[in-house]
Amino acid sequence: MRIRMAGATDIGRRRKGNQDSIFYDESRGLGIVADGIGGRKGGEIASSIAVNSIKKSFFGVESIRFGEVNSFLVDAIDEANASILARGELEPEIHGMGTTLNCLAFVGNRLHLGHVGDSRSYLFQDGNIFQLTIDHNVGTFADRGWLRPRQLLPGSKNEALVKALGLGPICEADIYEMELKAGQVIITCSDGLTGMVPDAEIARIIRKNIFNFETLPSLLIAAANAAGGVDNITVLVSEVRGH
Amino acid sequence: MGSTKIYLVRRDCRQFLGPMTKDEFRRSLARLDFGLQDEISGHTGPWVILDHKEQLTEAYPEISSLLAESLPLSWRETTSHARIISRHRTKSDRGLKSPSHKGGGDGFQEYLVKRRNRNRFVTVFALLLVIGLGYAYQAYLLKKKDDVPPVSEMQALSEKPDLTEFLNAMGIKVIPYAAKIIKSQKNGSSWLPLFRLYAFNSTGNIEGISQKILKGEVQANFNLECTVESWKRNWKENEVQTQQFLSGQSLQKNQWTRLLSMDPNWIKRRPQKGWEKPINIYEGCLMTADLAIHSVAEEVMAGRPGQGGLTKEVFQAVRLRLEHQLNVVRGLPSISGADASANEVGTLGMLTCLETQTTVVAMSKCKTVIHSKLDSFIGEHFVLALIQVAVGQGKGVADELWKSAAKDGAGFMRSEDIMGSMEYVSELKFLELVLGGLEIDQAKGKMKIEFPDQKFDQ
Repeated sequence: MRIRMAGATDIGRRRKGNQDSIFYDESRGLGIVADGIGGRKGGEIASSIAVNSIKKSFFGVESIRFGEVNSFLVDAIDEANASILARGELEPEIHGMGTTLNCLAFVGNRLHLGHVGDSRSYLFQDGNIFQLTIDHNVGTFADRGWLRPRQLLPGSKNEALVKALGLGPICEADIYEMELKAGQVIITCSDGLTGMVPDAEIARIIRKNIFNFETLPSLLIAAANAAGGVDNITVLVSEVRGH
Repeated sequence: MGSTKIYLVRRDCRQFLGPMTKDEFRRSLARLDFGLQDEISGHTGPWVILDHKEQLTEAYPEISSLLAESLPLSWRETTSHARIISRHRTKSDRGLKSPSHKGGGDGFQEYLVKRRNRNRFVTVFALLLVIGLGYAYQAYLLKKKDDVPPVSEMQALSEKPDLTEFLNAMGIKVIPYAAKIIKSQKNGSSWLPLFRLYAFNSTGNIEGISQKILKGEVQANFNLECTVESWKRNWKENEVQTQQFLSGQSLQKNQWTRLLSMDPNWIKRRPQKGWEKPINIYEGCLMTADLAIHSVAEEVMAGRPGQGGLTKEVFQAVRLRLEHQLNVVRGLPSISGADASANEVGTLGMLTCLETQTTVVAMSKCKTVIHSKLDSFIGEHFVLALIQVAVGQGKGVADELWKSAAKDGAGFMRSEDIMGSMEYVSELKFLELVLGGLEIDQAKGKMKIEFPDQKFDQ
């Protein structure tokens, strides 16, 4: 499968800096979006370490066997987590920094997706949109029964992250796999988009502008900013184009 | 949006199937590409587990109806039974009450009216015939159900050391009527432990009884499928990751690694209502995993790698671990003789070693060199083993060495990584009581009051 990618990041309308990081490389079928955790120092450093570390892992090998992509992805995410912790050890002022991560690896006719945190990936096909990733936050975990009321601290916010890179020595990523079909679009974004623009609107914008693929990230960012732009916004779109 | 509604299925929380139309979903379901424990989502819709009838009916009623048509009675019992009956009435009533057409003309018109009447008569007749046959079949099934032996008879067979007779008798005389029996308010609950004994000694499934009923109440993050087929499939899909886990290179989360990591004493402390043998769903899962691994034994031992490239060494490590876990849960000696020394390598060997020690000093010999990524994992299991050392001690005061190790390790039991761990509320309470200065038998007494369903006395 050939993959076409387009991405952009924006500071939004309220934040003073951009803590999101993005990287994509069509030829290698690799796409990464990371959103540094706000409210902690060093969010932008954490997201940038995560992206660079994953990039380094992928660029450091010539090829990966089909059957080993998932475990490679797990190891790459572990490495990124370890790098963030190591940097925090060296610089006490940014100790405790963290980031979300969505890493897309397009291999053959399959998508392998590593996910930690509340950045999301969606599948868009024939006008339909499906959220692929499960948000690693208190609200979602409580809804799914993975967090019981007695495990919640008083005053826990639904959007508080349960998992992220940099929070501890073990970071269990969700690894997803999907067979690809031509015409599908994978949208990967930070919560600056999904917190502002409903899924149905994201689908509408993509459906309407699919023929101007390169403009999709900026159109989605514009929609988030129009709705308030309270957070940094990063969008990566990947289109499956057949052989 | 495209005119045809499409759905995405998420299998085992990790693999996507589709998107697919309703018809493709039906075919995929028939091919067993996914199971009722898997999730479905429609355009902008929520993810709903297929086995959650109410939520499914609310979010995707068309899929709920499709499942009601395609699946055994136990799934559809609350969604479609009433509808079928009312549909019969509506149609037959309409057919019988329709005024018959009088001949209003001649020639072609008269022919049309006659033909319409004749068609209507044939339709009504066919419908009545179908309803009649339906009732006759129901009556036949009810009569057959009366041939089901009494539950006490099967209970007696289940208590024999060799289960062959029980399994044969259940397979022939009871399982074909499982759906009806489980629905019966009078007998359903007394049969359930026997159905579970049968299921977890065979395939992990019983046609006509949903996985939700069979598995009962499970800890929320323990969403394992626990059928023999799913274990085989899961091995194939996670071969590399599982082997990395076994060799101590990294901590990987999949069905196998989660099950093999489970502390059998944790399982043993939690007998569940409605379960006898196995004592709970966790032991049931160990049993089906054990069946799955033994089903490839011949191939592996003959030097033909089993499903998913299972080597002799890995096969042996997994087999021994399962044997140890099942023995501990059943209160039998862990592993003996040559098997014991063969079981002292890798991650599983380290866990088994920890779980079989009776003193803190002996436990320290089990900490083998394993990748630092597994530190929290080892810490968690070290504390579980410490608790068992105290529980096994019976009475007296925990010594200083024990207390110091428990204090150091207690933090591991409160891991933020809730997906990786089981629930340790009672274990943490026990630690707190003993570290707080209570003698061990006093702590056990308190545990009996606070956690009456759990067993901290063996």
